[in-house]
Amino acid sequence: MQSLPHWLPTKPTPLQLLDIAYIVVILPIFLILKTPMLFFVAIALFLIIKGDIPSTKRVLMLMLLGGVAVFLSLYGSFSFSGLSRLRLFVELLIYLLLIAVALQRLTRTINFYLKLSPALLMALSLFFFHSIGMLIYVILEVYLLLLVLMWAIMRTEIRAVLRVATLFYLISLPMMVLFFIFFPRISFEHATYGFKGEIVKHSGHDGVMHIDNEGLLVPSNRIVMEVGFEGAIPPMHQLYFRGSVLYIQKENTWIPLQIKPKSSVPQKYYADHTLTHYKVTLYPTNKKWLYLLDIPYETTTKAKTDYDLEFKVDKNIDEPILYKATSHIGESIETSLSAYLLHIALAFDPMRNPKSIAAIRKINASTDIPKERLVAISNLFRSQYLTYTLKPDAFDLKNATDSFLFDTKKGYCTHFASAFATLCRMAGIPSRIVTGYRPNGGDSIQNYLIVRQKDAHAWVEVYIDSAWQRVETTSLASVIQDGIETTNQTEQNAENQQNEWDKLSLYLHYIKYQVDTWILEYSVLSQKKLYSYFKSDTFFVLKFIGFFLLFVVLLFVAWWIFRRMQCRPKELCVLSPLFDLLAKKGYPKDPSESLNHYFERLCHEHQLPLETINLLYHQIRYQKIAQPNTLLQLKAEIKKATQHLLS
Amino acid sequence: MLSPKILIQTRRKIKQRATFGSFLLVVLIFGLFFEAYMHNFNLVYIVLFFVFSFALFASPFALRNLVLLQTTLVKGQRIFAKEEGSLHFELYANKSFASYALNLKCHDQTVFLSELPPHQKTIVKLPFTPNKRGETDIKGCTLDTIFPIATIRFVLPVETSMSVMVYPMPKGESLESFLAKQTGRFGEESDFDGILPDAGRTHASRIHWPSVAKGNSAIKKFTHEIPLERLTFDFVRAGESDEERLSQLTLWILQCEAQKLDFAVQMPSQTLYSQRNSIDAILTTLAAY
Repeated sequence: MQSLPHWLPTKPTPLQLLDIAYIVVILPIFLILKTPMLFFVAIALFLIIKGDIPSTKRVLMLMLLGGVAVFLSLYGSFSFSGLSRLRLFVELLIYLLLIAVALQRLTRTINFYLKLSPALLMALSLFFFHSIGMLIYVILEVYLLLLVLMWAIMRTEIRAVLRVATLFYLISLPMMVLFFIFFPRISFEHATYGFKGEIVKHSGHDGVMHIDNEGLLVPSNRIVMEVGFEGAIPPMHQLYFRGSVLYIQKENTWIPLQIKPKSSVPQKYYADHTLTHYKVTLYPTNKKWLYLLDIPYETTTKAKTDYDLEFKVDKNIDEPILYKATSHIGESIETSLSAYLLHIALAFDPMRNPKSIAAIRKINASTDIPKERLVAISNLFRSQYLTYTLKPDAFDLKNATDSFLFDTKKGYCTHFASAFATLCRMAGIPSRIVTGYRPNGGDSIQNYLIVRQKDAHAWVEVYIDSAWQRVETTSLASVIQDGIETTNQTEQNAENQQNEWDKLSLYLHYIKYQVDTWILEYSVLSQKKLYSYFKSDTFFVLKFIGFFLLFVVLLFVAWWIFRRMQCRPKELCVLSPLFDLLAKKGYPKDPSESLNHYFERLCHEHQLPLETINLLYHQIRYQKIAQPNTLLQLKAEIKKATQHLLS
Repeated sequence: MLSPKILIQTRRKIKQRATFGSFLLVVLIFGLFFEAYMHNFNLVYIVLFFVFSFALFASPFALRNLVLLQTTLVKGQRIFAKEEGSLHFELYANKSFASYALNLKCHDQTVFLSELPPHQKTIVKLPFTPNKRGETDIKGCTLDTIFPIATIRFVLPVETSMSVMVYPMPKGESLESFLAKQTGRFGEESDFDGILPDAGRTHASRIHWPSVAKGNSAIKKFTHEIPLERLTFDFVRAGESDEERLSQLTLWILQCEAQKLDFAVQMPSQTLYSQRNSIDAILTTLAAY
């Protein structure tokens, strides 16, 4: 194996350069190749590495094998409806191109399409990926392909090519960025049709609520959604992302209404300044709910809403979606309550939970006012010294409320919410359970917030004074175990819970979110937003220009460093600024004269103090008497001469 | 630092020619544009804008590559009509950075130079086969490059009023054959320096008869074989036409030079002596005849 210094001066053949280009473009394609095609590629690679030019018979065999590999790879997708899917079509193109390239490469002859195919393969591979990883790879891929192209043109050693290609790449970057930002777009969002995402089931919120008797709730850190607020993040104790609303208790499961009232909540007018605008990236949940902050106002996505202010799309969400939403941060939803809903919202099983019924009877006897009854129920909860824990003890499923309130006294949000809603109904207060997410506040930077599965939450809404009013039932717990959420303590504890790794992870997510927002999902909407900032916010314009200039300066510094590196030999490089200055001062070097003659001429004819420089330079360059510090001396002399010339 | 004035001057001189790369660039830009534009594939946009930026910066980069290059013809090479010779050019990058991928083109010949280091002279040899003798202008020479990305060929005319003297094509009877026909051309007996094996077809006066008598074949060797006043090439007798004569004389002169023989060329209007004129001066006179 050759050492690096031996390898660096080598000049690759055009075929080797093409091989490098193919390696660069095919790497991401390997991720989408089906096994039969991978098998074909492996065989082709083996034959290429072996280096023999195969016989016509063998080439035909390989072509046949390629055909079979394509057939097997796409088996089951061969239908007209299937072919209408863009992904399948592009995949087929890539397979055919790979076969053609492999067959041509085996002949070791460079023809037109062997030269063109790296660009085609790269363009086709971009159909399949839409992630930060691929973004980074694409930036690197473009650089590497540029390097290969310039290597083919320059036909010189890699060091020179690396330097020049990097300079060219760096100088092109600001222009690319400007084009990316300002080039007019028409599409609103990244097209996904024809591209089906992986079906991912998230268990954080599933639209119903189960009361388990021996459940160990394992908090999952999987991200459900990322939220970017237009302004500051509202106070954490007001962040309730509304999911499903549950009315019916079937044994130990709360479910939504099977038939929802056709009427929706009358759209209430809220003053603009009371509205919160935000953008949500929701990851696949395989459910139909969009999560909006309480109280949801509107969203840009085509979602249907109803009386319960649930926002649902038609199909299960099986790929990340982006939506903008607006909410009024509040705790009460003013609306009417139909007799049908009233009946449902008061329903409970009188044959279960006798202890609770007895306790409620006492409360009912003491007051007729719903608000006072509500306070009394809250006091009952507090008096039981309930413990919030993710590891509740086993309890009696037939009398779940009794068991939770009077026996085990341990549970998490669902137990609290279920018991509270049941007691309210016993007390004649219409109640329902709302499930969704309530982030603990730890995963936020500036206006960016991460909501994870462990933030799944359930709370109760009671109908009092012509409005559904939120009750945070877990706040009634007297003891907290597992360091998990309560309304008041959450914000205080959140920061302490984070270790350094979590913070780093959060920052990485934040960066990812910003890259997603401003690069991968950049669209005409983002452009409009940017333009509106430009029009209205002078400070933003200055900030933008400042950052862009800083970017250009950084690139220039990098460019300067790379440019300096090209100076060889070192002693001549050191002299280069002096040459430039002398030329500027009217003492240019005649191309035909030697350096020695040049320096002597300047010394004698123009009395310039260059004798020492001449001596030192020639000592370093041609004589063996140069010391290690001679170069330093030369630099010092050049500095002196420069000062002399400038003065 | 390059001054804008020099850059502008150089830019005015440079001509741009489309290449096959230009066509591919247009196809690539359109392809990527359609892939990106309708569906907002931002990764494709990034590639598209990279390609676009590369195409935009190719021109200034090529200008930087071609600026301050000095090309001069190195004289002193003998070039003969209808014979492959070479033009020697001296390339000098009068700047602090190197130039790359240069093609020096002249008279339908091209030579590739992968790198021209800064402040260093490089001699480039270009094949050259002139059709006729005489002073020949070296016109239309260019330095071109497809650097950096082969989308445009940038052509910089080499600005020099260069000419070379093309000597007549050396052709005709060899000097040896010519000498064989001459009489009394060898040196005095006092110059006798020994004998050499006879290669045959030797003039009778030069045969070393004592050796022949002994059964060997040998010729006489003299210290001074051909006195100057005796080796004279007559233009009129050298051939039937002027071109033939000039070619013949050129051949003899070159062979004399190789054998370090002094000679004279009797031209219709003057006599050229090798002791008084340099070989190149004599050949130049022949070339310009």
